[in-house]
Amino acid sequence: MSEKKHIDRLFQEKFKDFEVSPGKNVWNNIERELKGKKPRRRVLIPIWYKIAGSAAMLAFLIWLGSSVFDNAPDNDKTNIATEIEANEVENTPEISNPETGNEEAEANFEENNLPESELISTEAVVSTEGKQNNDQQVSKNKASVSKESYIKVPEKQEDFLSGKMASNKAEKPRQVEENAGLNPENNFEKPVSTEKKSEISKAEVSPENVPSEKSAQEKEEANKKSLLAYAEQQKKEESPDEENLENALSQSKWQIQPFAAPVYYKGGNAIDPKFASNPTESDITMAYGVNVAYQISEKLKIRSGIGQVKISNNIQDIAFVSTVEPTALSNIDYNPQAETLRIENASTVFIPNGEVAGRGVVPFSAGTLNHQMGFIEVPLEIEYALIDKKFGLSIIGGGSTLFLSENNISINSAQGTTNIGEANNLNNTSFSTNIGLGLDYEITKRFELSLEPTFKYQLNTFSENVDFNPYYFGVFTGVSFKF
Amino acid sequence: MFSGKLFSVSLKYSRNKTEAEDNLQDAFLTIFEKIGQYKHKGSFEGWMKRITINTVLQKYRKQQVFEIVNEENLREPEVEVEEENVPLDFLLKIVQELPDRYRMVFNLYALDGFSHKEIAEMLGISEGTSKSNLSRARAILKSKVEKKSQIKTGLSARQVAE
Repeated sequence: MSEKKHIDRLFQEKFKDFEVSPGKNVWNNIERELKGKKPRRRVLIPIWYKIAGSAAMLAFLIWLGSSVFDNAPDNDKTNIATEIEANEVENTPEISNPETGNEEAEANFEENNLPESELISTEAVVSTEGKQNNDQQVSKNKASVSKESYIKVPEKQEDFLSGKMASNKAEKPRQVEENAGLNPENNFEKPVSTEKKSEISKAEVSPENVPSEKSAQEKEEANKKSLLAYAEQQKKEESPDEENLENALSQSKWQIQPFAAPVYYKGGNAIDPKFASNPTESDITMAYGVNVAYQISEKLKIRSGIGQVKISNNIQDIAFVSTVEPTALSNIDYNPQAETLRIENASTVFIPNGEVAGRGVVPFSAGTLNHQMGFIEVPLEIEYALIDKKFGLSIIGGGSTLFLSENNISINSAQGTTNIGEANNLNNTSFSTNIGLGLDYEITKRFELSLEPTFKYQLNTFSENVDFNPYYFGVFTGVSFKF
Repeated sequence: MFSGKLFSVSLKYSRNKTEAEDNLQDAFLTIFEKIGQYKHKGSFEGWMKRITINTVLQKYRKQQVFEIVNEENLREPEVEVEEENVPLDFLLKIVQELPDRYRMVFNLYALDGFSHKEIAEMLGISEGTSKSNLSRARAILKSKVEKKSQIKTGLSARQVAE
């Protein structure tokens, strides 16, 4: 049937679902051209790995340091460190990574899946020595290992373990009996890592092994995830190059931020036990520095930097006098000229007004003991963006390494300031854990104004046990520049 | 995954299959190069399509175009067709056979929905030129379609001769 039609209409209708595949040579040519431009891509990804690796190392070191000084293991840091590792492994679409992960996993699978592997019930395996260890690890494993990595424990390992137990021959037939009823529900969950075998061979398990194992597991999990993601990608796209390029050719991911902050410190008396009841107060000081942040994902930034923070802590109600029989305060290294000073808690002595009346009255003067502490701070923090618009809100958490740069004790009084010396119970290197809130205002695409009230809890500032936990709170204001 | 759609775009705008393949390759290279500029505004497919169109336009722009001075406004002609007689392959062929400028304008206006103003900007011509190019393109296509369809439209000799 013939129809009158506007010519445009005719063409539009016919071309509506018009799709033609190009010849194969088209892709070869494109690939050839792209290979010429490859060096640029390669450069960006190694940098990514280097930065990520060193950031993860740093985070791990800080965690290690704080757990050495502070007996309570800091679970948050471990998680952050391993989360960083897991996130990075997931996010990079690099091809070689999933392949090596695959090989690793395959090797383990083969090793462990012997045809006659026996199932072991939990009670049989656990010997008295390793009982606590296993339970702890099993519960940890349950938490972190996904369904995919349930493995039947191979014969080898089971013999190994049973060999450790005090009674052997007698136990063995019992085990065989129990295992005769192959009950799938008794699957003993064990992670894939081969480290586990050698670890159980040693009777002791130190806490350090646990987190590294955990991170190895997480890595395996992450490797599997990235394997799947890679497989999906291969299916979806004809050319995997597209996505790689898109990730690698990033826009501005770096941010540099000079900041200044008024700091409020709360400490206590670390100078001498006699001042235990004295009130202490600290002056509000300024901290300065520069922070550098790198955007590792849409909402997550990792930041570090360097800065200087000064603390000025005052112990009040002090009485002092120059005398021939000074008594030294316990935690001070005296300057030579201050050695003749006798410093007391004012509530324990009598401070005369005006002129000294007669002999026997010790002419004390009133004053405050001021301790100036200066630190060079190297923070390592993660910033998670809650709101990311013109006005942004984020949560910041992490830790800092503090290097002692200044340490001065002096007496302040109406007569002036006398420098006494320095405290001998301050650690040269100490740590703090930080948590804060970030409020940003985007002035232009590249400039941002930020206000970050942060609370920093100091961990091992003083070498001896002091009866207070110092912390400081600062409102970090800065201008950041993105590039 | 997008290559099918993009290749069809290239085919419409190019003179033949070989050139269409060359143009597609160039378009893809440009896409890879400029991927950083995409910035998630609008659809990715649309962005790639635009790049493909621009790539082909650029290619033919550099070539000599026979400048049309006449700027009459012809209304959109109607054509009688036997739909079964005009397969897609045929339509594609006659589009490719159009002189470059007419082909660009026809595709941009009739198939990709650009306005004369936009076309004028993209090709560096005036709006009037765009309109007249479009009419001429339509006329050529119409005569070829009708010939293929074997139906005389009974139009004046002048229009048929064009």
